Order: sequence, then structure tokens, then C-alpha cells
Amino acid sequence: MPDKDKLDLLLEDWQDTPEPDPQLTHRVWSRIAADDNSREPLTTNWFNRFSNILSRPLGAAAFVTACVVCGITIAQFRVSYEKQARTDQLAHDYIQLIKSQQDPIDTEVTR
Amino acid sequence: MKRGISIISLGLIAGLITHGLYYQTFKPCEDETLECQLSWIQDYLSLTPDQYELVVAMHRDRQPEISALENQIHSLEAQLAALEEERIENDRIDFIAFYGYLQEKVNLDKTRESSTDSFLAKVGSIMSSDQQERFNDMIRAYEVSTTQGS
Repeated sequence: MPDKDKLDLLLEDWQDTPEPDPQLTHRVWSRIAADDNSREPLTTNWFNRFSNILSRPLGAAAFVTACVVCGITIAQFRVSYEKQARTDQLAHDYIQLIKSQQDPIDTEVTR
Repeated sequence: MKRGISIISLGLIAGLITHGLYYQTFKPCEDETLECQLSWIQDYLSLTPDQYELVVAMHRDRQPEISALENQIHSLEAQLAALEEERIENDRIDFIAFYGYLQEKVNLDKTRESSTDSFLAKVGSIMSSDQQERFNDMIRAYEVSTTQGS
């Protein structure tokens, strides 16, 4: 049983616990700090990825097309909303005018 | 990175230009022309271009009649103002003149009402029954809203 012999030896060694490295805590924290510093902020990371996509011709074309489509869609909503409001106002004014022509004159004394 | 920012700027500018062009092309009219003022009829009643042209022409033809009626109203107002001035200055009411004014006002009211009714009938005659129905519904809805509002 050679494996058991090795294990026995190791267990015997383990009983002589070595003194812990006094610099251990400092080294662990240094490594954590170094790791934190090397990592980029999330926003920069995303922007870089997005920037990479845009640097490709297909990505750039897709982005510009999306912007154009977005511009047209917003303009369409704007036109639709304003047209509806304007139409309602004109219709209201027209009917008001027609009704005022059917109603008796409300003459006022102007001096 | 620099190229990315350029593409983003280009996209935003392209989007804004397209938005502006589309809006300028399709925005609702804002001028005081008869065509613009009556554009709502075409939208509300789904008039054909021929019907719309006829409606605009009818309104244009009515302008002289409207001006004449307006002049008569101004004349009546001036008449009433003169009567009122006489009442205040001379402390006297000319009942004969006032009766004449009232008669004239009643006649003018009748003329205006019949003129408007016949004009509406004339405009209605070029519409389909469905369009006429919608037009009358609009007038009724307005009457209801003003009755409730007052």
C-alpha cells in the first residue's frame, strides 16, 4: 500500500504547522485591489461593445437606418396628433359659425 | 471609439433631418385659405376630391352673401347705437324708430337662418346619405355639447 504510506507521511508533516506568512493578508488585498482596477466600468464596457458593432459597415448602416426610421415614425405620430387637434378645432369653429348664422343676432350697443 | 461616436452623430443627424422633412411635408395646414379652413370636412366625412372641390367652391360663392349679411348686421348695430344715444342724451325713446329696428332685426334673423339652412341643404346635396348623416350628427353633437355647457 504505497499510497497509504504517502498519506501517512503527509499527515505526519501536517502536525508541524508552519508559521503563516505575515504578508499574506496584505498580498490578498493587493491582488483584489489590482483586479478591481483592471476591470472597466460597466457603461464603458457597453459603449465599447456598441462602438465595435458600429465600426463594422453593416452595423453602421443598420444604426443610421434605425435612426431614420425612428425619425419618420416620431414625425408620423406628431403629424397625426397635430392634424387631429387642428381638424377638431376647425370643425368646432365651423359648426359654431354655422350655428351663429342660424341664431338670432345678439346686437350690442357700440358707442 | 472615435468612429463609433461619428456613426452615432451621423445617425442622429440623419434621423433629425428625416423627421424635419417628413413633418414639413405632411404637417396640417395653418393658413387662412378656404381650402385649409375646410380641410377638416374632407377628413371627417371622407369626401372625394371632386366633392371637396365642390364644397370649397360653394363656400367661396357664398362669400358675397355673407359679406352683405354682415353689412346689414353692422347697419342694425349702428341703428341701435343711435337710438340708445338719443335715449341717453334727450331722455326720449323714439318708439316708432325702435319698432322699425326690431322689425328689421326679425327680418334679418329670418333671412340669415333661411340662407344658412338652404346653404347647408345645398352642401348636403353633393354628399352621400352616409356623409350627410355624419355631418348632421356633428351638428347635433355640437348642439348637445353647447346645451350641456350653458
